[in-house]
Amino acid sequence: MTPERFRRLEAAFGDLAAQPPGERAAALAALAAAEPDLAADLAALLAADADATSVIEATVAAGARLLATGPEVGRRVGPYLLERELGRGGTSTVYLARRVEGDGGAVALKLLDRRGNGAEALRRFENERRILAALEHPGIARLLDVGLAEDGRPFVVLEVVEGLPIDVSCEARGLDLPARIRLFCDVCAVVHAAHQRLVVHRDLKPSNVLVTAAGAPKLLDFGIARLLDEEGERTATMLVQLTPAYASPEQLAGGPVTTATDVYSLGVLLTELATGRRPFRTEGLPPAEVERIVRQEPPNFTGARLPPDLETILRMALRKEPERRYGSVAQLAEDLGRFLDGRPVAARPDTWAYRTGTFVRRHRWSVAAAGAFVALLVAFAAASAVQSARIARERDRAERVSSLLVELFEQSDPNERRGSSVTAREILDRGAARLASELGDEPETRADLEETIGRVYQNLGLYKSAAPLLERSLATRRRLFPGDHLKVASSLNRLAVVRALAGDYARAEPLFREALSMRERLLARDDADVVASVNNLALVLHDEGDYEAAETLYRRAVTLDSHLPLDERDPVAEINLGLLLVDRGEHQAAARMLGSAVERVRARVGGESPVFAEDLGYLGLALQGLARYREAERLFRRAIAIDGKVQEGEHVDLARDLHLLGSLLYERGDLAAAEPLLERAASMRERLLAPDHPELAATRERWARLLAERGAGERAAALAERSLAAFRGSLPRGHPSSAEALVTLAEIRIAASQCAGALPLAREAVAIRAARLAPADWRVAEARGVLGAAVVCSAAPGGAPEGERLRAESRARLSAALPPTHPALRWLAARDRSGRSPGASGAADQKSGNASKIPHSTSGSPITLMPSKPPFSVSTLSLRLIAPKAGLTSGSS
Amino acid sequence: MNRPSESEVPAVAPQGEVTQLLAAWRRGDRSALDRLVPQVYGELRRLADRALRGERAAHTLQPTALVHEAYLKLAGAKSPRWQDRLHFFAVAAQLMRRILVDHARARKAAKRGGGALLVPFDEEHDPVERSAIERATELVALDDALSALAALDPRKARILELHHFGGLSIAETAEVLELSTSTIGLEARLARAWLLVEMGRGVRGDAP
Repeated sequence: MTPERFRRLEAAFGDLAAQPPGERAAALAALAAAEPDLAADLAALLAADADATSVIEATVAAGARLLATGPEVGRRVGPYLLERELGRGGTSTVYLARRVEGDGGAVALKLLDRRGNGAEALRRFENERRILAALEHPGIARLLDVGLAEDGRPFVVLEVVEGLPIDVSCEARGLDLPARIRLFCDVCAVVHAAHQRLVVHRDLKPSNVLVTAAGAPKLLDFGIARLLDEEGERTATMLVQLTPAYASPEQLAGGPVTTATDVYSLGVLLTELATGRRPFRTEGLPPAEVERIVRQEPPNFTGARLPPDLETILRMALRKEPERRYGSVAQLAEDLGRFLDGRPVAARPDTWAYRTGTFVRRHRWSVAAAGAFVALLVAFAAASAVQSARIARERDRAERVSSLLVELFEQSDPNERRGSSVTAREILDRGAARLASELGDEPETRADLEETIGRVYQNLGLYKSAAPLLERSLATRRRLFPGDHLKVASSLNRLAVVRALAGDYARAEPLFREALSMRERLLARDDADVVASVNNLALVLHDEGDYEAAETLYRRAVTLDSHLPLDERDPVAEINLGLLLVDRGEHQAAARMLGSAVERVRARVGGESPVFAEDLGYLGLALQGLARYREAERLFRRAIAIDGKVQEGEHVDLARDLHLLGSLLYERGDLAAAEPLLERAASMRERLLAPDHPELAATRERWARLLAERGAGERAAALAERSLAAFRGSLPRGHPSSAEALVTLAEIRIAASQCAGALPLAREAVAIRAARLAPADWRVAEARGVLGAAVVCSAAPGGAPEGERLRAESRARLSAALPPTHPALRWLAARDRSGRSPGASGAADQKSGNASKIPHSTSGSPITLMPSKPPFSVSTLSLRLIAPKAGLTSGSS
Repeated sequence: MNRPSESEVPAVAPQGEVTQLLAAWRRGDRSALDRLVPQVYGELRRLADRALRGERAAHTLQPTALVHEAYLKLAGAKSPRWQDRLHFFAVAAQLMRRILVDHARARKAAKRGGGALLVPFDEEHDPVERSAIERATELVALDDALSALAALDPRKARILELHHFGGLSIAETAEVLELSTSTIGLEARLARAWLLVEMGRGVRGDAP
């Protein structure tokens, strides 16, 4: 519209508006004939006239109300106009803003919710701004300005970055893990460059790490956290201002922030990029709980399926102690480069995962007996130290003792919270080393602590570490308490338990005897500690193979136990007696006894306890002996579920469960399912136990047999030899477990036609089993059969009638005693096929027509199946040995 | 339009100074206006910001009330001269319009979101914010229409600005512009109707 036309319109409007409304229509119609456009505009104006004032007033008022009802968009902050909110944090909001004057360029303006303290804050801001301005890097968004809004709130102005947060970007671009890691390494390069200029980011998180369309990272807010961190209110500010999910433990603790802080946050970021989740599940938790988790809990990678090396790298970056992380961001990036190249990484699994101090409140919820025990011990140690405290320094020591105790025990006793055994072990090692130096002048307290640490080692299966501590504890107590003393008895018992668990029965037995007689002199004959000592002496005799003496003692313990008050009774002796019956092949009686005892164990410790899981395994073993495989398998799997749940990673209990299930599946003939279980059990036991530990030997024996059966004869022979050597090194001569390895190795050698090597093994096996087992036990027959095969194998064809007779008798006995799928019969059948023994359908049999003339096989043809011995007794041994809680009791000391 | 320059952190001028500036301006000293504008703008912004921070109820937030409040703050209750007060309002009306419209435009822009940068929540889905954006859109349309009107007839645009954004009565507006009240009344009536049509709110015939 032109001004001229507007003026014409104004004149016409003035004329018409002056007329009464009734006459306007006629005037408009007349005008429409001459100037239709003008008439139309006029009509619109007249129509709007009535409402105009109210509409305009309402619009202006509504515009004013906008100020009070929404985000601060539209506000001016310094010389900037806030145009659009980009993001909102806990204490600040970021806006897209524009400079009102000058180039009017867009900037990102971060406005704090909190006021600064005026001129002082501004001066400090200026200082920081100068430092940050020096941080020119293409990967860092430039800091353009800082200032205070007129209401006193600080703001910072940054270059606007067009990009997506790194996590969103990775998803949007569909990057695979290597590509994500490479992008992350680019981020590391940027952070490292800043570190070299002595600027720490302090608040790395996805929303501060943008990725441009070109795929280059661009970091926001470098050093801003510090800039906004008011002096004098550091901790409070840190807490409110940080993004807790990415904040490091030292930040949450208000500790000094260094480049290691950024290493940590980068670890969180990489975890998120690699797994889609952060290493700590803190969503929705109250701040105190978040802080506790970040400062105390290990990173949680469950379900992440991380490559092991990458997980190790992440764990190193995420360590609680700054000084134990990567020394620099560059080192982190280098290690990631090694990972990408498939080279060995520099990161090592954590050995001292947490500051002990942060452990203190860790498993407070646990009310296991051990917890109460520790609490008592702490109180005792503190009290006794205070008694002697005449000066402040000694009082300090008392406090040191109790805090040391809390640190050491509350978090690392696996019965309190099992798992993380490597970590717990490191704690113990350090604690044990400190005992000598810190408590050299408190021998009694030190001895108490040494015994307790020894107990924890024992529960971790670390028998070799436990023994020297317990020996020291015993020696100290003998010196402090000459003669009979309960503490000395306790030390004796504990040390004996550890030696027995380590397989050193010969040195355990006299200690058990001494402990028992001391307790019998000092205590009532049915005191719980006496019962425990009786049980333990029985068990060591049991393990040494002296079944008769063991049974007598077990029965005595069971009787004594039945006299105890209900809440002190412990079915342990019954469990052990059940195991003895299993070892003797009396599976029916064993199953009855174990079935009832296991129920009482459940009532006593609960259905999720590792003790219960262990006893389930024993019951399963009895059922397995009755060929009730399905029920046995269910029990073993239940045990694995329990032990696998409470323990992260490796533990002797879990290894035992795996061994049991693997052995069962092997016995049933499911070699493919059994092998990985046995392999895992073996590798776990290798790492946790001494190289010649009988449990490890037992698993190797089973595995060797399985390998031989599926044709891997050479590996099988090597494993069986190691197994036999270990049994011989750790068990008394003539121990039934040695016979297992003897039979297996003999069979493997016969299969390989190494007849001379097989013969002495078979003889020894027969001798052991005949001496230790009932004559009717099928295992005696099995050993005789193997001896027969070895004799036949060694002799000229037809030249060993005695061997043939042994084999025939063995065959008859085994066929009657065992299910047809039993390994002993499977091996027999295989030997028949390859050796053309009597009863086999080979041509040689037909020709000879006489069992005694069967030629032995001298061919090198692979014989994959060999006769077998049962898995029972080896498994039993391994179970009992592995299971200190049910197998050996240390009483209430 | 005069804009405040540089920082928005001016100390509030003593009341006497604003009074002197108003007097000087009335006597024809243009530089007095240059010094006056930042102060008035600053005070209006402060009042608006207080509103922003929820320190006053939304229903009391009439722009004219804000201008009055600013005047009281800057010049004091005992106004020296009636004409000076009018001049103050004349300046304030302009600034008030700018403040409101800047805010509304930004609020509208916020709605669009987008770009490569992430917008944390979708304002489109917030009913309160959606109606706010509608109101913002209307105010921006009003501002655009007012600017269009100023191109055709600056005086009429000024009349509306003074009346609706500055809170001056028709008589006061006539006084400031040195016109008769009857002239002002008719001009304002046409201007409002035109504005409404221009905003698309009127029943419109043929597009001009």
